[in-house]
Amino acid sequence: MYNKEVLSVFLNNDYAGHLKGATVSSTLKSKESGDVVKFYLKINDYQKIETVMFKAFGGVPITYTAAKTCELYMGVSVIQAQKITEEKILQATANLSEDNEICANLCFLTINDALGKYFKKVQKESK
Amino acid sequence: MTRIYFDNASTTRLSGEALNEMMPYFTETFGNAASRHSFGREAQSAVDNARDVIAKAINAKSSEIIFTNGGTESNNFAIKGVALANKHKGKHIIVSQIEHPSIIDSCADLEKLGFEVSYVPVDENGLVSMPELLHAIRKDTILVSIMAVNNEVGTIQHIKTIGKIVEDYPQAYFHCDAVQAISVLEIDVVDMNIDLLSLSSHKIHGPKGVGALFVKSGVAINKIMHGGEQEFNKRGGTHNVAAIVGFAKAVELTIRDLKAINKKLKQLSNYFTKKLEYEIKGITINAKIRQRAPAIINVSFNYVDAETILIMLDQQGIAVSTGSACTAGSAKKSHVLKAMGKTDEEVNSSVRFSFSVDNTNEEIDIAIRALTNIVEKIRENSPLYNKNFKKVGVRNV
Repeated sequence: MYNKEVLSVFLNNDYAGHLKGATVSSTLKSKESGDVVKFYLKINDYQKIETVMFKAFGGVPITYTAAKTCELYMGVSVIQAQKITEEKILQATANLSEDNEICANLCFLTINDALGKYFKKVQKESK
Repeated sequence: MTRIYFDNASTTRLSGEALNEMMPYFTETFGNAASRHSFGREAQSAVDNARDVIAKAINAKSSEIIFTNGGTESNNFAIKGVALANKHKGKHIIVSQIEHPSIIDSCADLEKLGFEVSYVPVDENGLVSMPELLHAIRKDTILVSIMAVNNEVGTIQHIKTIGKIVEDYPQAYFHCDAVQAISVLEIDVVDMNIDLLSLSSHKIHGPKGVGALFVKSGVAINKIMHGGEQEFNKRGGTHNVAAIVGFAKAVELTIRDLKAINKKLKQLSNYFTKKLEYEIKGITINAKIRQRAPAIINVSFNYVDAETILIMLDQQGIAVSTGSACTAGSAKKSHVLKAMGKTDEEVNSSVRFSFSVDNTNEEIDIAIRALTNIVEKIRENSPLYNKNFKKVGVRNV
């Protein structure tokens, strides 16, 4: 059902877990699949995403997609992060033969929700 | 690595006795049971003897047992064969919401041909609602199909009561999917007023690829496997003689040891449940009622998705299941748990453990140790987990 790369990332990746001292986090649930994902972002003073971590509920597809999403956003500036499209997540998770559209969509919305919270926070702090 | 198999509702190990019984029919007695020469007659005799054994086990006549290639074919045959043969009398069929996919999908196919299917709901333990069944059955109902033992949660239906209800509607037949039932209950098709009954060999330590459909004398049923006049001209296809012989042996041993089998399974089930509830908090045993097959235990692990448990247990050599085997490959959600009113999270976090007499308490100890560590690790990484087990609110998209 899942190829070696997918299972390998599912069982061992550096992005799963709680991020202490996260700048922002967001949790969303997919109405369609019931999957839930939480992303934590630690963003430094230069508006660079230093660390991304996730927690996921829903099995292999969402865990794999979340890990791949973290890889895409790790180390980029928040400006560059806004340019990462859902399509890029889909491409990164092409090894998933099924369910990747729903998972990619959930991860994309959740991480962008977290970024949205960051921008609101910055705006509030600058007033 | 010790390998532990807790997926006996999916399939079981072929017993040594069944294998021994089958061996001559691979090489020595290899004739086609439909052939008229002595090679064929020898094979036919073996098939007939097997038929007698299975008929006796359920209080049926030998001429009422039709061999198929398994439970899925038997269910398809029962639903489609009866519907098509009796459509002039009516086009209404009743099944429960928790039937096996071979029943549900057969009904979906018939709906495209203009049949009307009522899917009777079940309660939170998977028991068919009798008031709803009574409400659904009507003068143009031609078939009621309710499984005796549910393969996902183990709920045992009140088959005798359902048989009595259908008896009041002479134009309606009662089909019972007993694929998981023969090692759990004493089945008497006369006493239970059953018109059709599906059986499967590989659930009771018999070989895969063979099953049977009991069709009571007088039941109108269309052939769906054309191309031969075998099985009283009801089901074409060369007999898998070795498998049929193995099937009969498995049935014989199951009936002979029914009490002992159930005693062992109850002991294993109780041991597993007590230990699990002691070691891991935040779990729900689904269908935790007396009227449940002891071999099947379906457990929801709060905040933990079932697929992850399955994969991590598999890494340690322990086999369990999520949903039913027939749907596991397609990663669909369990329609059975949804019908029982479980939430998405509960459905996604449910694992089925199913035992056989081969399993031991030591295996249970090893599995629960592994499970405890796995559940703890997964919960740490679950966005839904709250150490106080309070519900975490999450926005839907």
